[in-house]
Formats: sequence, C-alpha cells, structure tokens
Amino acid sequence: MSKTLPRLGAPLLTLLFSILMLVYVSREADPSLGGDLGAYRTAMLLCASLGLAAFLLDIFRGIRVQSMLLALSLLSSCGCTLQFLLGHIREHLFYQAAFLVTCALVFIIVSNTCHVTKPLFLLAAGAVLALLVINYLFGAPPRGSYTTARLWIFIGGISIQPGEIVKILLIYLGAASYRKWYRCALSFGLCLLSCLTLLKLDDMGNAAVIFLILVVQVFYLLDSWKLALCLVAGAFTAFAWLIRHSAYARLRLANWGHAMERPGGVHQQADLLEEILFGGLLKGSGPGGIKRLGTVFAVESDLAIGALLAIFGAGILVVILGSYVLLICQASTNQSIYPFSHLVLVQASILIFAQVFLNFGGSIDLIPLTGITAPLISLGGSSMVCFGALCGMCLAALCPVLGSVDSDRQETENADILSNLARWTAGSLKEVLCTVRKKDTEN
Amino acid sequence: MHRSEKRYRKLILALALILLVMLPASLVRITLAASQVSARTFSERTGHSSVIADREGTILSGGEADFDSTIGNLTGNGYSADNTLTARYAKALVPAGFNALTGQEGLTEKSWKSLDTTLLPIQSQEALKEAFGGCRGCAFAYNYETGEIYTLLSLPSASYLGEEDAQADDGRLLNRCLDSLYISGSTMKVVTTICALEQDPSLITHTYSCSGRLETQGGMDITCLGDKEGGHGTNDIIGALGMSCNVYFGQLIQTLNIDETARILRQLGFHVNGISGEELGSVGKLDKTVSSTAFKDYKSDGLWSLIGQGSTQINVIDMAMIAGAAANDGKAALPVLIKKELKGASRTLYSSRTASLLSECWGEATKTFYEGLDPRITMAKTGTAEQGNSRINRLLLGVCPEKSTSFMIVVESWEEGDPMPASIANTLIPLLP
Repeated sequence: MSKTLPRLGAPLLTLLFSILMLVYVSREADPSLGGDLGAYRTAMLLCASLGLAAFLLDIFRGIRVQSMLLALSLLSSCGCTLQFLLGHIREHLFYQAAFLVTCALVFIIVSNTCHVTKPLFLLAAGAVLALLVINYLFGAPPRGSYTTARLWIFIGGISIQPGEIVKILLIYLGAASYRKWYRCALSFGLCLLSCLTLLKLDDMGNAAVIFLILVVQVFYLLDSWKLALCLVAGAFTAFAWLIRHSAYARLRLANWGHAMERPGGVHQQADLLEEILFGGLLKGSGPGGIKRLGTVFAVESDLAIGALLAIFGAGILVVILGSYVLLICQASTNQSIYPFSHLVLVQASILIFAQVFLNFGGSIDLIPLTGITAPLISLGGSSMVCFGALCGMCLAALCPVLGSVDSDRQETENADILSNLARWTAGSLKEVLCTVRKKDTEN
Repeated sequence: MHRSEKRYRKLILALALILLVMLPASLVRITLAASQVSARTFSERTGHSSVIADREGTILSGGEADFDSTIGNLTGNGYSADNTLTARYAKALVPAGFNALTGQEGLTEKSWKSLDTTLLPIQSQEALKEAFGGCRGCAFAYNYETGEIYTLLSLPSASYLGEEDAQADDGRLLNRCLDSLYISGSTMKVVTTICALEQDPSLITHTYSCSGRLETQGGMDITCLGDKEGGHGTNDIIGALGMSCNVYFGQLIQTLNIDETARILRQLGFHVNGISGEELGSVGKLDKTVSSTAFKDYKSDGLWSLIGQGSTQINVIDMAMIAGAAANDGKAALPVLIKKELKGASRTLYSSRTASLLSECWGEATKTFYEGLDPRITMAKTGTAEQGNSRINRLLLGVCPEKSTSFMIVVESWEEGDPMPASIANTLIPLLP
C-alpha cells in the first residue's frame, strides 16, 4: 500500500485538474455553449483517463510513464477547454478519441512487434514520397483562409494535412536507420526533400520542424562531426535559399515584430495580443469574455496557446509550458539500450519543442507566424492523430517490453500482431495475479 | 551510441530550458505590445476614448466627434492617414493606468486623456469653412508671437466619412496647409522685398519705370498682368507691392547679388536650387512640406521664380511665418498645435531693420492699394497663380498686428462668383482670440 499511494499522484492530479477546470469553465462560460457541455464533460473524462492509464501501466506493467501521461492529460484538458469555449468541442472530442485510440494502437503494435524491418522501412519511405507528391499536386489552402499555404488535401468532406503524417513517418525512418547507412542516406534525403517541398507549398511551420528533425538525425546517426556539419550546412543553405525565394516566407519574415501595426491587413496576431492585453496577464478575460477572441482567424489552431493565455492569464501558461517541458524531459528518463528508443524520443522531443515554440512564439509575434499547431491543444484531426502515433511510439520506447526484444532478432522475427497482443494481455494478467499474491503474502 | 546518449540528454535539457525561457520572453513581448495599442482600439474595446479638443475644450475627435484631415479619427472605422494628430499623438492618447498585468481593469474614469489643441473653437472653424462657399483651398492663421495655430483649415475635408468615402482620391485626406505646396503667385514679392531690403536697405526708395514689359535674356519677357497700356509707370517699392508690378520687381531683382539672395531665401526656409534651407520646423509631430525655388541666374526663368510664377512653390505655413516676422522684429514663433507644447520658441528670419522697413512699405502699400479689407489687416498681399487649363488659384498673405496674427488663404481653381480670399480673411479676423 505504501508503494501504491505515491503512484496515485498522477491520476489524482489529472482528475483534480480536470474537475476544477470543468466546474470553473462550466460556471463562467457563455450560456449559449450549454449544448456542448455534455461533449466537454466527456472530453474531460477522457483527459482524466490518461492519468488512470499511467497508474494502471505502472501497477500492472511496471512502465513508469506517469509524468508523460500527466503532461498529456493536463494539455488535453487545456485543449478541450479552449475548444469548448470556442464552440469546437464536438469536433475536438472526436479528434481526442482518435488521439487516444491511435496512441494505444501504436503503443501496442510497436511494443510487441518487429517494427524495424526492411519492408516496413521501405513502406514508410514510399508513403512519405507518395504523400509529398499528393500534397504537391493536390494541396490547397485551408478554406476561408487568406493564406496561400497549400497545406491541405480535400477528399470528399474530409481534409487531411499530409505534412503532419510526413513528420511522424520521418521520425520513424530516422529511428530505424541506426548503423544502416543506406537507410540513413534515404532518411536524410527524404527529410530534405520533405522540407523543401513543404516550403515550396508555403507550409513554413512543418518545413521548419522537419528541418530540425533532419539536423537531429544527421548529428545522431553519423559518427563524424565534420560530415554531419557539412550535411547540415548544405541543407540549411538549400532551406535558406528557398525561403529567400518564397514570397510568402519573405512576407511572414517582414511582418515579424510588426504585428501590432497590422501589416498588409494581417490582423490575427494583433487581435490576439490585444485580447491578452485587455484581459490582463494576471486574470485573463475569463471564460465568459471570449466573444471577440472567437472571431480571430485560426485562433483555435494557429494561435491556440496564445488564446488560452488570453482567457486564463499567465497562470495557464505555466501549466502548459510546464507540461510540455515534462513531456520533453520524459525522454531523458529512458533506460533502454536500444537505439530505436533513443532516436524516437530525441526526435519526438525536438518535434514537440519546435511545434510549441512556433505556435506560441508565432501567436504573440515573438517569432514569425508559421501556422503550426500546438500538440493536443490546437484543433486539427491530422495533427491529433499523428501526435497520437508519436506518443504511442514514445510510450513504447519507454516501455521495458521493447527492451526485452533483441534488436537483431527483430529483423527476422515475423510480426504477428494478434499473437503479440494476446501475449501482452496474458502477461498483464499474470502480473496482476502476482501483485495480488504478493499482497496476500505481505498481509 | 553511448556518445549520442550523452548528447541527447543535453539536447533535451536545452530544449526544456528554451521552453521555460519562453515564459518570461513572452511576458516581455506582451508588455511591449501594450505600448503599441492604438487610441482607436481603446475606443472600440471600451466604448470610451481619449479626446482631441479645440482651445475651448470642445471635442474635435473622440466621443461623438468625427474625422478631419488634420485630426484623424479616434473612433469608428474611418481611414486614418499618417500625418494626423490621432496618428502622431497616438501614445499621448493612450489612457493612463493601462498595463499588461491588469489590462482593462486598470482603467478608470480619470485614465482618459484630452489632447488640447490651440485651434479656434469648432463653431469658428465651421464659419470659416462656410466662408469658402464650397471652394477647395486652405486657410492657415497663427500667432507669430506665441506660435499658437488658430486654424489649419483644409477643404475638402474628410469629415463625416465612412471607410469607402475615405478612400476617395480627391486629396481630402491631406491637410493642404501641411502637405501641399502652391505656386506662390505675387505673394512671393513680399519674400523678394525681404531679400532686397536685407541686401540694401536703401532700395526702399528706389524707383523703376514700368512700361508693361521687361525684355529678358532668353525665354519669356517679364510682363505685368492686366496692365494698362504703358504699364504702371514709375513706382517705388510701395507702389510696386500695391500694384504687384512684375516689371518693377524684374528690375529690382537684377540689382541683387544672386548668391546672397539664395542665402537669404534659405534663411527664410526655402529649399533653393536643390540645397535645403533653414529648418523652420514641423508643426509639433506633424510633418509639413518645405517651400522651394530655383534660379541659376537672373535670366527669364530665374526672374519669374522670384516674382512668383516660375519654379517657386510655397507652403502656406512658411509664408505666414515670414509675413508674421515683419510685425515681430524679424522673428517668428514656431507654429504649435498642442497647448502643452507651447514654449514660445521662435526663429529669427531676417533683421529687425528689414522687418521695420518691410512693415513700413508693405503697410503703406496695403493701406493705399487694398480696399475692402478688414482695417485690422495692416499688411496684405494678394497673389494669382496660373494652374493651367485656364484655372487660377487666388492667394492672400496677411498680417493682423492687433491680434498678433499672420495668415495665408488659398482658394483653388477660383472662378467668377467664388469668394475672394480677402472676404475669407474678413471672416477670419473677428474669429481670432
């Protein structure tokens, strides 16, 4: 019992945060949002369930990922609250569920199957290429947007952002390339190609994130500093050259630092900054005072962290940035001896860092606005599902199950997902029984 | 991989630190943004606004009042040009007590500010506007001793316009007193007289004969407009100023040292032959255009420039300052529009001796040759500037020592039946404090 209580910290904290947020926001919010209250409650329940998952994984599987799941839960709660207040909670609830399902599935698959096989690697590489081609040919700007960034492809009533999927696939490719030189070359090449293609499509945010992923891959996969430096310098030159020749990127850079002057009719950052200022950093405008905020363009996605700052004041910023820091730092607790784990975690850290930095920095004009989403807070199906996949990979990387699988054997092992799933479940039950027996013995 | 492991822990630590540093950095950025919130934003978000008021405290902009090409607009959707009080004094109009920490809650009734101008009461401005009878033009009047600007009227103005009308391309968004240059017409003869008297005071008694035409080397001869057969006859400077005799001034100019004339003009604020003159100053934070002229020699073009038709272009504020100095020992106060900025700063434009001689001869010319003017206007000089397409601008430069006021009035594209600048001046003088 004495060991169990501290482990309850994460679920209790997430539960407490969710309940407090739910009660406060439900009481203060615009009464017209009452219809969405049910969806909001469900979403917050899902957020709190992440804390419970941390507890269960710890107790039954011995996986110590409380801080990661605590961070995910807090961020999800913040995201749900923002989307509820902005009137997008039903949509967001769906994405939230998709995030959890994807996260769980990827975790189970990566934990229990052979995931660095050659066919899988080539399949992922092919998928990256295919997505880039599709995005280049059929990419279109978001509907109703003034931006020219061709981020989206529309299939029927569904819109997908291929750049988001490409990022996750590239992380997998990089992680699966350790000491395989042809894979390294392919992974670097695809990173650079993705970066330049997305920049050409005016998707500055994802291009910047992928460039950082490329830098990390080059430095962590190559033993030679000089070679790594040369490659990064080359990639940077190509990146800078394209930025210089992109009218869109030049405009964004020119507007940087002048948001309050509303350059070229771009108002969104100025509107958000004014919302933050008029609400005050101490208290914010409160959940009841966001009518004007709701009219700011892309406030639910590109300016999400800034929007929460405007509503709740600087306190929420401490929670949000603290949670992201917790998420990033979780990677440093990795004890696995396998390169795949290290490389997934370090790339995930850089991705989370880059997205938060670009989203929040861009929203308040600290850096140029890129339109990148904030993980778990911004509204967006592609980004939520892809981030779910990334979290699943990270959880698997932190999971001891992976450590028990010999990396050399992985290449030849037949990936039988269903049998592994059954094995995993049986193992869990066995551990539960062991725990119960131990308790009986102690008593 | 061992080396990589160590490296990646350092990298993760660095990333976490950068994210944590974003917290104070963002607060600094937001605090900086607080100083960039426009006065209009306060009005839109709070329903209150700081105001710009006339010299008696009547609100010119802010609250229910509206847009003007000098004032700009504090409220509503109207377009706001850069060179307006609203734009240039935006910081002064930001209410006190507003900061990034407390936001709107820090604002109280006392937070709102009033930017008090030296302008005549709004009713006087309206009366002056009516005196123009719907004509385009401008009127500038200021106190040459204190610098207080009484009017910066510019017509058409952008009053009571919505966003769409404000885009109208008819110059209504410019204040003609600040942003426009006019061909000087014969009002330049006052400036030329100053140049002459500065160089040789005895020229005040010189007489020249006018036969209606003065032959020049190359180009157009100097002629007198509307002259009688045989010209204006023999005149001294009083008669020449009163009758605006081009031939007299053509001969007078030829006796002047060309470099010295250029120097004096630069001292009077003119941009001469591409070289900037003395900085006569902007109107507070509002920019104004600078008068200019060009004359390389005293052949045809050069003479016409100094008579007021060639390449001479004047700013009405510069001219009012030059005229006012005649009644103020050659000194002119720098024009000021905001009460708080009244510091009595002045600039010596020419010697007190020249000022004395000028006021003597110019006063006599006005008294003798100008009829129908308010008797309080002791010095006046009319001008007519051809605009092409048979359009003319009518100008009047004047001084009213009783009110320590000098003024310049321009009626653009004047036609028969339109009010003369003199009648507008007669409306203006009683309105002065």
